[in-house]
Amino acid sequence: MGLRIRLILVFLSTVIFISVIAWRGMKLGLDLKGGSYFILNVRKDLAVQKYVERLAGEILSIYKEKYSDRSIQVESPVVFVDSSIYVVEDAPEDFVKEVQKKFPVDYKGKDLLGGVNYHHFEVRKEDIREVGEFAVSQAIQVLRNRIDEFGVAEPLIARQGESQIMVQLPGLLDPAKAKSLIGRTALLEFRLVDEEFDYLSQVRLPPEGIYKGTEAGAGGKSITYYWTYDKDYEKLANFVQSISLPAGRTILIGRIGRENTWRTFIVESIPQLTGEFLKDARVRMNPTTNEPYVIIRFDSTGAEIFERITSENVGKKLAIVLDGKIFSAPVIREKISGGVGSIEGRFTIDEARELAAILRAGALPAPMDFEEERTIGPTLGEDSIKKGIVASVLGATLVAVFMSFYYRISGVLAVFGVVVTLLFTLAVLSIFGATLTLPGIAGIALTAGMAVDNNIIIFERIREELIKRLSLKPAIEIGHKLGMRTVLDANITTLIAALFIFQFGTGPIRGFALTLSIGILGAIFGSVYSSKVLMEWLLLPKRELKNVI
Amino acid sequence: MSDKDKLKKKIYKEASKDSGLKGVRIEGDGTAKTSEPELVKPKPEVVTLQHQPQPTPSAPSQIRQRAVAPPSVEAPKFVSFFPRNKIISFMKFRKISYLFSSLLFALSLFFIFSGKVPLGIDFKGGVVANVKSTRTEQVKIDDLRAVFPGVFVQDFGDGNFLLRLPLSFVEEAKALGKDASSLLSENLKKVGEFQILKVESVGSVSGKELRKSGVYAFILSFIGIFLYIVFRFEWKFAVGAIVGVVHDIVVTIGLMSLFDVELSLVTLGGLLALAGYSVNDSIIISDRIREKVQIMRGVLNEDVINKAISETLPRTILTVLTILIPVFCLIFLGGEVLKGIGTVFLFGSIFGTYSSIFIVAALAYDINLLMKKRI
Repeated sequence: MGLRIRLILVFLSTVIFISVIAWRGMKLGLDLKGGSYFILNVRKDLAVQKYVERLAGEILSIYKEKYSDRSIQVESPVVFVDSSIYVVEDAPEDFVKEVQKKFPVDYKGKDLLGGVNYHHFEVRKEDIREVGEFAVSQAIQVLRNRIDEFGVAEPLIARQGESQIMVQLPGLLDPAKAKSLIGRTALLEFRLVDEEFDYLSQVRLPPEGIYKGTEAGAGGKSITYYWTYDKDYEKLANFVQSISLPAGRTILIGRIGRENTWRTFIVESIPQLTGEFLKDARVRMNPTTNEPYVIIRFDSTGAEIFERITSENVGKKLAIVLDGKIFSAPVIREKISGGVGSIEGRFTIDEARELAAILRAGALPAPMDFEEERTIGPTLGEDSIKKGIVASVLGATLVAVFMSFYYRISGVLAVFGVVVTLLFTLAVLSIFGATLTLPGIAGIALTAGMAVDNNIIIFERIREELIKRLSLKPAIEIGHKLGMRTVLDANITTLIAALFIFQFGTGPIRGFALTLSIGILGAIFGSVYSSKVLMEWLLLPKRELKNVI
Repeated sequence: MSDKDKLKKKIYKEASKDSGLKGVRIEGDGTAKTSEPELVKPKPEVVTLQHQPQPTPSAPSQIRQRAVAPPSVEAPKFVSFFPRNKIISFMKFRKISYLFSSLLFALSLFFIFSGKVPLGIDFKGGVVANVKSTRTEQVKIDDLRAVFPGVFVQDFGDGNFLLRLPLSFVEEAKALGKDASSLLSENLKKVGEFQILKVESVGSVSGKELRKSGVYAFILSFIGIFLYIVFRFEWKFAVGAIVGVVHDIVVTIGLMSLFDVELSLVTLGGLLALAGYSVNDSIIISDRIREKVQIMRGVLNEDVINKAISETLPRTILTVLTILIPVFCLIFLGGEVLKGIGTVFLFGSIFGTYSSIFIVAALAYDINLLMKKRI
């Protein structure tokens, strides 16, 4: 290629780099513009537990449907533990066959459980794995919906590893609110309250601050319960966990009854209906109390189930449970058709709105733990970017000054090469839509330092050739040819390391690796090729060697 | 390639052959000379005459005339910090260097395995928070200590505090069914009104995974660099270079623990980048040794190595200098995060240069000797 064409290539690409940067702009990372970064761990184990629970629930409803005329001798004809489901032994053989046919479970023979003989069914391993997988992908979908509901700009949600999800919310001012909207399972359940038996009358003395109460149950029996004030909520929550109940029953608490108090309820372990059949949720105002509540609408399947539950259990209490807490437990007065229900719970209007939005976005298939959080306020981000830019610009400037002093005209050309390298790096980053992070800025500063290394290797070689009495043109040729070999070797090893950082790294560190890798590639064009072309253009016509290199 | 280029290549080959042959003639008594000293003399014709006995290809006079062009009648003057043609016998120091490096390496390993390397929350879990009091009255550090048992507080003045909480705090929060930063802001409310400028909390699970994948990344990039050098050079150089890189990384981590620089995800990235970068100087030197050995028809002796290192010394030191300039800017002006990377590069590039000059080539040489003795 002729020198003129190469010169045009160098200048044209420089102009292209600049216009690409100007056109696409640089996306700033969270550490520079502020925002929140979360790593959430999806509790696959609990998703599996829910799955087993649902299978058990479906088996139970068939059992009840078929054998409703039988005198039920045990409290719960269907029980589940881990991935095992037990059906009471007095169910006839054809029921066992039916369960095997209808449900993805394996029959494992008979087992004794708490003095009663049961048929033992085992949920399949591959199903458990699939349920776990589905929980993660479903959780990502739900998170997307929720974050959309709340209108965060440019969120980033991505799966990470086995069971983790990364969420980036740039520019969010209130991380606490973000967490409540992300982390809430919003699992809505309808569970029957069991007041057939006074389970809690025999329980040992509760700790201080928790009180015992009795009331007339829906069935007319006197029922014992425990209650406490808001401040001792956690005490009560811990206390109820220590209470052992017969299989098939669970104790839950709710903020029901006297104002600012929490109390216990005994409910069935298997929910009758869950929020998965929910179609819509809206905020309404109660005209008499002037309190907001959330009205929920089920789809046709949900409405059918709801109708069946209410018709079969008239006179019993139905607990509306959200994320394991009871919001209300009204008595079923009559069959309810149409699939419309409501959640009341002394909400503020904002709380009710948030609840409705979350219910609309869907329940998480499993709860999630906040494994990692990084929240950077916008002021700190601004401060970081300022400091980072000052450090990088000063660093690059000082390197430029040094190079121009040491290598004179060639040094100045090397500086132009570094500028081309950095422009290339920024342009490629902006094309990829990669974010510029704080470590990325460090990568840019170091790239400037490393890019001139290429020039130093080549220039020193040229000097050696000049000392050997070669004239400038062959010295530049040979210097580049031989220097290039070293330059490539040196850069390829750095590139190997950078690629491994990218492979293994997460979050901001990938920005560093990416910047470094692109910078290395850019330096081959900017610092090696461009500065050679410029040297040929500007140096070769010179008669004097003074100040040339 | 044009004819011109071919000619140029020829000229170069000629030149290197000349100087190479001279090197052979002068036996290694420490006064090894290249053709350069003669060249410094004001009369270059002498040199040309000396070259004359060599068998020259056809049409050499024309080439020579073009090569020794009028502008370079006098030896060119450069801005340089380094004396020209001075050959330092670096190989003499190799026993001391081995000893020094082994000691340093052992000490660093001791630091690493006795758990003295300060781990950031990325690796050990916990919470780091920058908070700012929004009220004018003074916040007492003891008040903060009272609500956060096991906290490490740094007072930046103006109501700015840096809080570091151990992993147990995250676990405590989890046990309460909360996330760590919510518990942090609840506890802060007990002390006063605070604005949380930055909070980072990491649970234990990812910390362990990270440590594992970090070690893998190192091992893989070592293997990658090793294989590349084997492919490009010789396995002896590759062993030397990789020992150098491992040495640089381990010593840098040792110094990090000495100077209390935290090993975080970011500094780990810096260390990995360093692994790729610190091998550069070794490559510059190995490249020159290879070139010299080729000219010397396979002779690898101490003189060759001393010469190679001395000749490339300017670029070895200048490349470090140009990386140290931005590194110092990062350390002094870049703020907390960039300071970490900067410090890693400071230690790493200094020791990388040292090992490239004193250890890498010497090791390749000694391996070569050992191999010969075996045979």
